[in-house]
Amino acid sequence: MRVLVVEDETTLREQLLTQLRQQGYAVDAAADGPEGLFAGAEYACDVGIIDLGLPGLSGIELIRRLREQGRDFPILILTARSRWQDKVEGLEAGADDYLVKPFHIEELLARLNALLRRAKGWAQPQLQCGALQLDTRGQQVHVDGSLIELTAFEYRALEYLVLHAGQVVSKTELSEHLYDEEADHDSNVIEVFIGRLRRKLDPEQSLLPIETLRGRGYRFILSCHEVSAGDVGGSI
Amino acid sequence: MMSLNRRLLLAASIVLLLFFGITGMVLERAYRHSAEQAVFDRLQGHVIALIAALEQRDDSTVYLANALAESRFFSPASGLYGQVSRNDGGDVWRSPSLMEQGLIVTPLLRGQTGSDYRQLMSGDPVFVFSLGTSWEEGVSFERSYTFTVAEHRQVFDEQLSAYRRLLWGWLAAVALGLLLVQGSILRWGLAPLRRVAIELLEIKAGQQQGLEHEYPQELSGLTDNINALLAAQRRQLQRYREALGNLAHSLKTPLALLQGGVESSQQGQRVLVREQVERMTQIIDYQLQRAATAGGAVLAVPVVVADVAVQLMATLDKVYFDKGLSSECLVEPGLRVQLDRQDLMELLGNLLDNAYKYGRKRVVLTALVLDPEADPDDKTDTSRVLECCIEDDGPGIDEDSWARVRQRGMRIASDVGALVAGQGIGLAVAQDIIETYSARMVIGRSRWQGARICVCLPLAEISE
Repeated sequence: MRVLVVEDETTLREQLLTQLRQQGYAVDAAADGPEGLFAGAEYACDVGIIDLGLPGLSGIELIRRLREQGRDFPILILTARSRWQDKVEGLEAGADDYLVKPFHIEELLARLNALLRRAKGWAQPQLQCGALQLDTRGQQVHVDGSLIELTAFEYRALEYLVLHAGQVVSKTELSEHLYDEEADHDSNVIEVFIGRLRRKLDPEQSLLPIETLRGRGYRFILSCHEVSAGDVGGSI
Repeated sequence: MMSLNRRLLLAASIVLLLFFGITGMVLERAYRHSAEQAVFDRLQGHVIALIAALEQRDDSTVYLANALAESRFFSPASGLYGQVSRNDGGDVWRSPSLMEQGLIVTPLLRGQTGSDYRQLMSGDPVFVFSLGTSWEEGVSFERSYTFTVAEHRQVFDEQLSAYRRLLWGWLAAVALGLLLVQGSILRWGLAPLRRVAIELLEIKAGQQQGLEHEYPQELSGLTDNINALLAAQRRQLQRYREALGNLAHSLKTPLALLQGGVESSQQGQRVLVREQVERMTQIIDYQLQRAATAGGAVLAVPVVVADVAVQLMATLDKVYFDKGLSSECLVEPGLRVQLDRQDLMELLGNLLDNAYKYGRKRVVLTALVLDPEADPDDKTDTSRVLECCIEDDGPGIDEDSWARVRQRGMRIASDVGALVAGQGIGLAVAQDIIETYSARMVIGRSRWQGARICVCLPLAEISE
């Protein structure tokens, strides 16, 4: 999952970068409006975090221009002002949620998760795909009820595949959404990485959740449904 | 208080009426006096004619020696009468027109004259003119006679009343004309004042920003100052908001850093610092909100409730998308309230946010116009109010936290952290805005047993 962070306050931006990378996100950072516009238009972002008080181009204007260019990834706005006017303007410009500064990083991560899910049409945080259960809020994966230990990065990869279940995801696409522009894009790394994920999820090779389409990419083949808060662990 | 127009008109009318009244009376008296004088002059002429026409016999009787030019002496009750009396008693000649009625005559000495108003025996009012004279009788004796002529008043009265009618008629017509002219002069003269009033109403209705017309020199001092005042008020509000916004920005970013830094420190400290930071944030939020509230500004531009509500609910629908709430905004499009737009947005925003946060499946906003008659206790407020109610199907608000919010002054700054998470601060902000406008907020149970919060807002008069 690739996050665009546009924040002019250097220290806060660095904090966000560190914490988001710890969570396994690929992060592109921008310090002002024009830079944010460039990054948002160029990179394959899955979600944006945009501060409203930006130099060069205001946050609202940035969101409006991104939307005009057809960029439809969900956007979370950060604002220092808790006035409703600002929130309303931000959401009318095309943002999807807001967070008032100061905020807890947990709150920010929860909102990001919700936005990512929502963008793919899922309302509930729990997804059940055959024997595999994905909890996007707790970022945990269970197979047949037992917890699978995944690194943050592995979790992001699986989450990306699950949220695009049934679709072919090319290696390039996957690497674009998992690595930011600072990392090198070597397709062998992805292959090795997917192999490791398969072994962790399915040591006996009985589920085979991730299919390889030679020359095209990968596909998550289990069909998923939402688990509402009431019936956690329910079957299909 | 009586209007300027009416005062000036009234004063001018009184002056005008006095002037015309006195003028009329003087003219009437003068005319009457000269007309009477003319009558007596005429009667004197008749007396002299009588003296010339009558001759004395030796037995002291009098006879008509020469013919009289005036024939009215001879036709009965003609209105002109003549009589000659001897001063030592007895009438010696009466004109046939008298028809046996006698004129009562005061004897006059030779050369004396007398003018008088009398009544004949028949009761007819007459002017009477008498002249004393004497005729020689024999050589050394002179006999004194009084010659009297009377004329009926009728002709004179008719003349006089015709004159009166003419006089007062004209005076009244001229007075009326002058009043009309004066009225239109006043209207024209006071028109700039009326225009100021109309423009102020338009400013109040939000149709313009200041007094835009050119005004005469005497008023321009006033209107320029009003414009300056309006501009100053607007600038001041703007400045407040900007300063506060900047304050928020400059304070909150360091707070965010602090909070971020704490995430990675030890557990105990983390909780402590986090609590404090949260509290500081809430205090800033609350105080900023308080200071930014425009309050009951006299010339606030009325704001359409439905517009603000729809904007807010669209925002909240997006933010609370995951809850899958059904939200409804039942507000008629044309309803406007006399509130600052940002104040209304904060008020409804905070209340709706609570409803979305705590509601399970439903949030409904309704608005209803209430007539003041419906509430006999509220004697101070005679204008109509708009009752906006926000209902949800959540757990509702418990009496305790509501009571705390209601306490005026409520030491919110120190108490806010203790309030029910989220619900408290939103309510406190709403309550605060409500109080600035001397409006009311009522908390109750919704039909789904959730919270129902109603605010009564001053309705802006519906123009157009």
